Amino acid sequence: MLRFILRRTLLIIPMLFGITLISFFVIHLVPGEPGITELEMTPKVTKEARERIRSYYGLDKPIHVQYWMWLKRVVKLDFGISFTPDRRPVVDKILERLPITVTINLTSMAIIFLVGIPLGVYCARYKDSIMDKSLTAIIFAAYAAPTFWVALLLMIVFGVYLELLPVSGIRSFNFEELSFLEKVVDVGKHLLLPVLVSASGGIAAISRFMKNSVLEVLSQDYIRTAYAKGLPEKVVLKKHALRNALLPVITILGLSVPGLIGGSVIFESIFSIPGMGQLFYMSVMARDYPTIMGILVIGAFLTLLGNLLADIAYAVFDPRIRAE
Amino acid sequence: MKKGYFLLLLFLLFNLFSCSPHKQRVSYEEEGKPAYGDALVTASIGEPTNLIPILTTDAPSHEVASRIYNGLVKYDKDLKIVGDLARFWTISSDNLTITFHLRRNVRWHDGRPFTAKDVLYTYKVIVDPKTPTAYSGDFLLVKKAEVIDDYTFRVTYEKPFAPALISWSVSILPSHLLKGKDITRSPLLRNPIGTGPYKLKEWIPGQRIVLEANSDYFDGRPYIQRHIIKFIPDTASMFLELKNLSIDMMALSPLQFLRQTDYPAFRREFRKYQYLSFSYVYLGYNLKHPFFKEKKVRQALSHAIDKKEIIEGVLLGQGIEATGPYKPDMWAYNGNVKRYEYSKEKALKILSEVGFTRGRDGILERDGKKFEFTVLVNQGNDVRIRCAELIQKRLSEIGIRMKIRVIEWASLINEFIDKRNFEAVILGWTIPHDPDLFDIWHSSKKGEKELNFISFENKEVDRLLTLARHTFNIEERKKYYHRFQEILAEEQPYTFLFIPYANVAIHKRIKGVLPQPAGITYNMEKWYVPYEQMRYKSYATIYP
Repeated sequence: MLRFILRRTLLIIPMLFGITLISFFVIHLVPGEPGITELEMTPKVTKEARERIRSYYGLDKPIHVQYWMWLKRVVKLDFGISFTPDRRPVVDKILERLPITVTINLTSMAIIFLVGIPLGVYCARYKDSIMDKSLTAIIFAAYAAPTFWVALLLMIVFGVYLELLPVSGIRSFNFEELSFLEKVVDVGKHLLLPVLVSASGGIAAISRFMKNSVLEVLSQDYIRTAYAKGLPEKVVLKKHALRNALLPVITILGLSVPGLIGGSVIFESIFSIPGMGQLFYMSVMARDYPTIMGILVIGAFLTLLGNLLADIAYAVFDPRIRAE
Repeated sequence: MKKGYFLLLLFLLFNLFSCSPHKQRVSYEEEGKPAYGDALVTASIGEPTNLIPILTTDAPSHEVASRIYNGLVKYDKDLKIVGDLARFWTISSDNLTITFHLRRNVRWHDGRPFTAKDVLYTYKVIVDPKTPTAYSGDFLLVKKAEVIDDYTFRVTYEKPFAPALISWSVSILPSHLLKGKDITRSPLLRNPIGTGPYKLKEWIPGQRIVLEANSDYFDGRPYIQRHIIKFIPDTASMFLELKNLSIDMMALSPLQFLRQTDYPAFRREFRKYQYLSFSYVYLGYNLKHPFFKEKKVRQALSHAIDKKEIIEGVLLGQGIEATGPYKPDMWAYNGNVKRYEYSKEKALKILSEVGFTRGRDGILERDGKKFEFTVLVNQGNDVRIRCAELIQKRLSEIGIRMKIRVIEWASLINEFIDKRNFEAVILGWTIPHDPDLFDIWHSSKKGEKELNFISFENKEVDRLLTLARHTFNIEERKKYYHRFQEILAEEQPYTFLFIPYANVAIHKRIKGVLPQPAGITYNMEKWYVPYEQMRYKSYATIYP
């Protein structure tokens, strides 16, 4: 077991290196350069000024030299300074946006699992009933509806017509002057719609997944045995079926670790949430290489880490895998 | 116990759904008297990158910075150059030297007096090769810059240069805080100190910037006490925030202007303003193209394109036809130029004069070569894409096959425009306040990365543009620019399509807004809200 973990952990290093190498070259292949893209087609910006900005960012050096410079910094965990004129350290830019994204993602993940799993079990148990069919229809509709459209509709209803919830943003202007409880309520009001919208797609996926998994388990021989020996249905479902059906969910949990820091560009833009999705999108548009690379490296690391954790958890929870 | 939880939940829910923004039922129709106070809440699609304007190139940064800093000169409402930090200036008889006489009672936001040393520092840091600024071009033409005394600053140029004067509208930076330091690492990037009507109060990354009136402002304390700029990256959400009264001002699309804001509740709260925007859209031809290098062909195309239809169809009528690179309310504009009314017959007649005949498939051809070309448009710009579609339809009617290719902005510029690898393109230009268009139309600007990318070359235009930038005499410049527009109209290197209107909705309690040739924000520090109509009387009530 320990050797397995150690080997898997060490494998992360060459994989990370490969990922950074490929991403670095790919993002440099994209036309346009930092600080210059916005200046295209602007009179008053001379060629010399353009060159000045290029050399300021070190873009006049060959690309492998740029990569080497970047790599030397990153192994010391220094992600460098942003290529936008604000010249702030990439780490600061990421850390400033991380809490809100993680909060939203954790809450919405909790909702997804808390709602999605029971829903899936229910639909499997009462397969083909009217309830199952209508729930399936609703879930599919929620899954298929484009996020931005649902978000805008909710904003119009709750924000403009009913005036119950704020339209966008994460805090009110007078936030600093509120008491603690009011602050919680204020943030809650702002986050209610975004969390609901971001959870709606996930619920559909998890409940479908769960339903199929439970259905598969329910057709197994040992379930028939359990019923046959006269166990009450509750126990059969909870103890025998659910436990086995939950195993694949571990994989999903592992895979959603990187998703925790990744935000959705679309709903973050619509709700004006200063999160990671927006940061990544803006960095790409501004060709802010150090920030793009910073986010990519963290994302890649978390993906690999999530996979590792899922593998380990599998081994812990599933005796069959442990035996191998 | 369970009951307790239930009550708590109920309480939380109640809180969640109570205290919606309080809308006052005040009439906003009265003009009222100017009063100090209230806040103006606006929204910006993007967040400023930093607030030292010479280091930034994005619009959000410049918009915020324009309220914090002053230049030596500025444009007034009629686009005439007037003094800002300079009381007045004198130009030597050889047009080579400008002497600025500065205001004496100006203080930086930190209380230190403003002097000519600050101007000299700003000049020096811009021309310093270590400064990553995009705006050094105009200042590298300065031969000598000198401080005569604390309130007199003099610059001498190598050659007379008319746009030189307005280049001094550059934001003047505080020398006492920046001199001898690395400007790219300065704390002023995020905590600017200027001389302008507003000071930065707070900047919450990703959320908003709050500006506070500078009570010590040399031109009088601004009436509106706070200006809050929220960052809302999505225009649809921004529009909902406007309808929700959370923001006071927003630029509207033609559809929003005409249809989506035309209901009583909106009219009760907002007033809509309209003025000609400083931009035009054109169809540009690569003049190296075997067909497009002929003037007659370009003239025929201009006849074949129905500009009125484009304005009606794409802008819902919210624009005017463009005849050249200026807009009608500028002094340089010449409306008396050749126009190309929509006429299929004229277009066909001209094309047959230069040897085009209809082939069997209905396509025009000459010497076996079909009249086909591709027009490039940038991705995400729906207005231009729809323009292209309308032009495509009109041209197909006279037997020209036009294909449309939509390309992402950076690729369009780097791979196609810069490499001159295009046949025709639909793009727009900003109309500069100063009419100098040397960089776009002079034949010396055809090089790589330069802006005369259609390769336009006309001896007389070269001469006129050079003459016009070497004199400060407006009447003389007018003469040159009028002739310049006549030539462009005759040559049709572009088919000038339209100048759109800028449409803005502003909350009715904000008074003193008056659209002028310079736009609408030129007098923002004179806007006011009468006391009885104020919405945010204290900071605590700011709850949009």
